[in-house]
Amino acid sequence: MMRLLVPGCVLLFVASLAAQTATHRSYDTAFLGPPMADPVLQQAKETFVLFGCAYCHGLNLVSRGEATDLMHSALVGRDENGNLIGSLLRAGIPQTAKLSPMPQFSDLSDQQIAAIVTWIHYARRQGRYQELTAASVTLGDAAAGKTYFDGACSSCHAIDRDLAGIGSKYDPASLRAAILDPKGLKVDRSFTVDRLKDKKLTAAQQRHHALLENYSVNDVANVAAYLASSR
Amino acid sequence: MMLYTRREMARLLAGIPVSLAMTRQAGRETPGLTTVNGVVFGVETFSFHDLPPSGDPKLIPTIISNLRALGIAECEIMSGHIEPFPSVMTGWWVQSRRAPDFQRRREEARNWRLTVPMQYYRVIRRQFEDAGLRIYFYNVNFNETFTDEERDRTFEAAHELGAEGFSSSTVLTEARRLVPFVDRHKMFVAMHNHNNLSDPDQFATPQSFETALAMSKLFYVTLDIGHFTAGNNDPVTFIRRHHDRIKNIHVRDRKRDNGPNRPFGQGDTPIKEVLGLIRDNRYPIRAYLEYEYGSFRSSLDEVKACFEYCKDALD
Repeated sequence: MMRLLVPGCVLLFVASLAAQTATHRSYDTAFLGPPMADPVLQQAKETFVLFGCAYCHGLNLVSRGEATDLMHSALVGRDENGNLIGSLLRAGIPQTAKLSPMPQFSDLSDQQIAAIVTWIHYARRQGRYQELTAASVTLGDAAAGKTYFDGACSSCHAIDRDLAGIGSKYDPASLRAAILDPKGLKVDRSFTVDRLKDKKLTAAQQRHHALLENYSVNDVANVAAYLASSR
Repeated sequence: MMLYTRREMARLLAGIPVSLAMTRQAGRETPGLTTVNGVVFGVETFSFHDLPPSGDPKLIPTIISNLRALGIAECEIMSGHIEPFPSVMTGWWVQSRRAPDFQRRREEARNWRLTVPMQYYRVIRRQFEDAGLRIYFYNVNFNETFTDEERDRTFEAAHELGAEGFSSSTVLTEARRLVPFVDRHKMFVAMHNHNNLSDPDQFATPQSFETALAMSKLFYVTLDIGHFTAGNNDPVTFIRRHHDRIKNIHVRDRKRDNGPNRPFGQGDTPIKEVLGLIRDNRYPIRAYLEYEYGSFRSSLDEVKACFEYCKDALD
């Protein structure tokens, strides 16, 4: 009798294990994608998903339903390190013309809010970069570009100092690419401690990230035209 | 002690819950009921977040496959899962009506509705019935952008799909327009609530439902107990008072005070009490699962988990 029971039990155990494996996939890679190289971004992405943000706003900020389009929201564009998004998350938007108000997430920790904010800004930069690079290249207005440059870029750059002659070194398409994704900000951190240099680099990256989140197609074309005039 | 027949045991081993009663007749299965201790379960297809887009030929087969995997025999199917365009193209949200090309896209959708042969809907119905499933509710979000002719055609479509009636995220002003249509087509519309308490035209409070219920005896309620709780209303009290006018509940778990969706059992929604109330009083109210919280797992896995929670609650 035992001879018959043991193989039967083993068979049932294996069948049960197979059923559990089939019904309990632990990570939906089709939706979430493979794990990211940067663990901070991976954790930010998972937090965005786990608290339900991705359900309405879309994992890559292509919103589902009536949720606010975070890719183009002016508030997200003005946000600095969660100073606007954080308070909005905690309070929700109960007064609304929408069918379903934005819920409040008052029980999130500061770390969870920071992770959600990190993902929103990262995904927005990726999306905006794709939009801006997909737009057809047009010749911008150099005068409008100068106005934009004076307001947004002149605290660090000038076409008669660090950018002198840049128009003769690069074609307009390369200038556009450099505006959107400056090579100078891609340097690896050194193991040598240089706090001033690191601080400057971090500040520059933050500034360019914020600009990328808010550029319009015309802004980029105009600034490229202005830079092209420096020969 | 639960006893299984040979056929049920075979289904059990194949991973199909025994509560899904289907009979195969001449190559076709008769839709059954999925019941747990007397409570009939279904799924709002909104729960399947990772479906192919509207109009994709794989969409309906995926819904059918998901329902079969869940062992749930009936569904409330969104219009965007039937029609070849998402419901946003038919003016579901006020904001969507402000899109620059909305009028053109809305006209295209209207034209499709008015000209599509009814055979289109019969083919979809047949796909469900061949799998032993049925569309019980057609979820159409009626709104002011519908013409009367379009409303008529939508009722005819629901009939061809085999639906008993509609579940609709709509507003009171549109409900008034629908009164002659439910009378003419002898088909109910169950109003679905959210928790917008700032707009008196929305379904969000007991009063908003009661206003609509007084308009027509063919108006009913799809009570979303999660949204109702998030709006600081009490679904147990509402169901006790209006059980004869509630067609189904949407089972989800949200926190009070406009709180977020949570995995079942982690919010403030009295899911166990509501399901127990329906079971103990044998109210003819269907329980439809609606999954909306965040997760790293697939929609199908999460809806399974929601269903398991409800089964335990009714045990």
